Amino acid sequence: MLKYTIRRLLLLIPTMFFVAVIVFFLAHAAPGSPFDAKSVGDKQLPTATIERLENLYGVNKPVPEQFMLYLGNVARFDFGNSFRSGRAVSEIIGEEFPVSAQLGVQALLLALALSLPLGMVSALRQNTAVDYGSLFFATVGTTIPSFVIAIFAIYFFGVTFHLLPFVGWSTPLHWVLPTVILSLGPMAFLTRITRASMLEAIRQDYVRTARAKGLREQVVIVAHVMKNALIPIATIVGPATAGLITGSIIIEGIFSVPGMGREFLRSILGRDYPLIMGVFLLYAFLISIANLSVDLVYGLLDPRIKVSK
Amino acid sequence: MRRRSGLWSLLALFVIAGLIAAACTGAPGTTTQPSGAAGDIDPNGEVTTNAGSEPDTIDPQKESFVNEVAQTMMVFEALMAFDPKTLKPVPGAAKEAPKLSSDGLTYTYTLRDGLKYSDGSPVTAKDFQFGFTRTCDPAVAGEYAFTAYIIVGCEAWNTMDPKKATKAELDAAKAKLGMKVNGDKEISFTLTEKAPYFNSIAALWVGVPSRESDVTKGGDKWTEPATFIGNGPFKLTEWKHNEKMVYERNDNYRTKTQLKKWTKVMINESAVAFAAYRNNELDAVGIGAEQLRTVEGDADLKAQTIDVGGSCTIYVGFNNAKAPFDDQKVRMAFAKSFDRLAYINDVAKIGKAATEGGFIPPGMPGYDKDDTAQKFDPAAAKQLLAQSKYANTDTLKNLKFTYAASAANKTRIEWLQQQWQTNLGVTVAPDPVDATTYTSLVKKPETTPLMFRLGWCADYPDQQDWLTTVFHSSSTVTHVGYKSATFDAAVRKADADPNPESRDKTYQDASRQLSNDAAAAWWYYSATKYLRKPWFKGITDTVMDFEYGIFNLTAIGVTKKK
Repeated sequence: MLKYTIRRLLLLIPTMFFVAVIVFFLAHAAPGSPFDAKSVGDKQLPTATIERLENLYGVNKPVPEQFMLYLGNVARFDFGNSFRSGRAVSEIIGEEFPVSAQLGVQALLLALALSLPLGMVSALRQNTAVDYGSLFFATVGTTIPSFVIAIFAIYFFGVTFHLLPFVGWSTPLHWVLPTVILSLGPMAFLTRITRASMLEAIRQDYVRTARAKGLREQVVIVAHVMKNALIPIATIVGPATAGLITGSIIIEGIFSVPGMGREFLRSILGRDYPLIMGVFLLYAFLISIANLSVDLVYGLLDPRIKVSK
Repeated sequence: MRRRSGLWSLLALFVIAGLIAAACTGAPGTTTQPSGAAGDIDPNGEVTTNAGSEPDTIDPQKESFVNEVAQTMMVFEALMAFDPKTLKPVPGAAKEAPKLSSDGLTYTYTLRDGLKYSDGSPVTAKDFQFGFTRTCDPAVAGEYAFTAYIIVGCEAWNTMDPKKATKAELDAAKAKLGMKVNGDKEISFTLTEKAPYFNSIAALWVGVPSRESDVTKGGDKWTEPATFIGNGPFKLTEWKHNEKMVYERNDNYRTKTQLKKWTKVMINESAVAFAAYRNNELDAVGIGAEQLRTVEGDADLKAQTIDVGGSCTIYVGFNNAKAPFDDQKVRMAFAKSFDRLAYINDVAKIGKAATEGGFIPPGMPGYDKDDTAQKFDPAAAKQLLAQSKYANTDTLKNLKFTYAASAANKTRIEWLQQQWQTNLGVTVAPDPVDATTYTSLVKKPETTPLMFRLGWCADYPDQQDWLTTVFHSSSTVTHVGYKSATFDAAVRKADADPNPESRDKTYQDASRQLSNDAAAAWWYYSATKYLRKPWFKGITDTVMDFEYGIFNLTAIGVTKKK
């Protein structure tokens, strides 16, 4: 297991390298430069100024040469400075990532806390009012986009009843709306997955065997059904975690949360190459770690899945 | 079983509790209607406004954008300032208008007595020299350095490649800058040519006195509150990136502001900002076309609406070098065949149709109400097209209109397409590309699209910044490729003319020529609508405003909100 983990961690290096290559060349393949992007709008910078800036920051060099320079810097843990703001990429991400991570973790915990019991209950009481209720919630949660719910929530809780603040991230009260609304999507999705995998597990032979052995219903459900039903859930939760903690473009935008989610879009639209790289490398790293954790958890949930080869 | 039902009742309880809480607090919330009664200005007033998105930089010698300048000019004061009523340059940190040398090339400014930075230390002429020197410094790579090219030596130094030139070469170029300091109070600038508009340039952010000790100490981060020390009405006391900036009164400024604190939050979503305004979390908010109906349907909001002209002219660019737009008749036919008034009324809702006036927008020196050369006239337009050398040829079919893809632009361009189809009988093919690609296309003559939408916004309120900067044949911001020797000669003559009357007249003639040549088709002038709470007082709105009342910050105050 330890050997496996180390091997997987070492594999991260080539993975990250290929992610870097792909993202770097794709980003540079898009037409325009960071200084063109700064000019977007009704008013543009003079061409001479744009060209001088491009020369100064070396973005007019051949892309492979820029890539080698970038790799050299990254090897020294220097992720460069954002072209737009001139601030260090590590500083920007260091400031924004914790906010997104906190929002993401809160939303994930909330989603798990409500969706697992809800999914299980509706599976155990299949085709009852409870089940239909949870299905209804899950369908609504997945079909209505979060920004629609967010705007309704702002008008209802913020403007009409003055219950909750909706601008910024400064106090725990500010956390409530973004967290709850960000959790709705995964919550609905996880409810359905939980219900489906519970239903599948209940019909397995080993459950029938357990019941035939005369085990108590609670034991059957907890030890045999639930544990096995968790496998597909773990598969989903891993990457979902990485997605949630790196921030949501929409939720952070609507609630003015100073997180990293907005940086994804902004860096791409702004052709801010160093920031694009920083944001995507972090995302790739987290996804890899999440997948590794999922693989390790499989082994714990089901000994038949051997991780150590 | 029990547990399960327990869960449900818990949920139900939660919902009911929420509803009750909502109901209880609902009543007072909905009645937060400001009394609006005229009261005294609160000596410790505070306001909150929306800065939109985080400014990329607030370094005065690097920045170029409205939301960046809006921060710098809270904290700094330049030698000159703009009169909020006339937009003519008036003394700022300078005691009076500059003394001019007999050849008209040297401007000497004397500072007011007792000027101080917000930390109490004195402001000297050297500090202004440092600011202007930074503007010209190629290593700083300021986006607005070109505004100072009129100073001797600035262009030569600024266009050097700091990575290739040796230090000695750079220093030699720097030493040639036409700037001299005499004692603590006097600074003089030598210009490359006569330029009566230099006073306007001296009022810009590029020349504010960034302090050498702060820039050295703070390095890349000198724009953080600890080292962003200025000589203006406010000081920056807090900057939480992507969240808010907090400004407080600078007690060392020569006139104390009536506001104690001005917080600018960063809300990107206009719907959210609008909600925050209604919730009294913002004291002013810009409104977009999508909020207009709500505003107009609400008597209170309607009364709080402020209309201000803008500093931009949006035009349809024709590639003057490419067929069929190398023929003036074709350009004029296109220019005369779309109904600008209908566009504002039916599509844009906000803005002013360019039905009267040329390139320079209303409210700006040089606005010419009587320029109606491009007046909407489909009959005349059809006739012009028939007389053009491309009449009845395939060149007039399926003309590509390139634009930066966005929902708003799509509506705009499709509207134009419709107009030309109906009024002129020509088909135009919309060609959306992504915004950054668009910019990279329009910046080079070789890649300039056939037709496109572009705008120009004033850097400073002077005709020179409109006519010469944009349409002189040597301009690097010309995107239409307009070249006219008569026009060039006229604007260059006016640029140097010290007599305001004859100068205005020469510019006016040149501007009319531009409209008659239909170098571009003037479409509309930018305008803003915003909501302002009744207690937010003392704001003089101008077309150049990059922040509410920026040219008269000390006059702004709030009456008690209750």
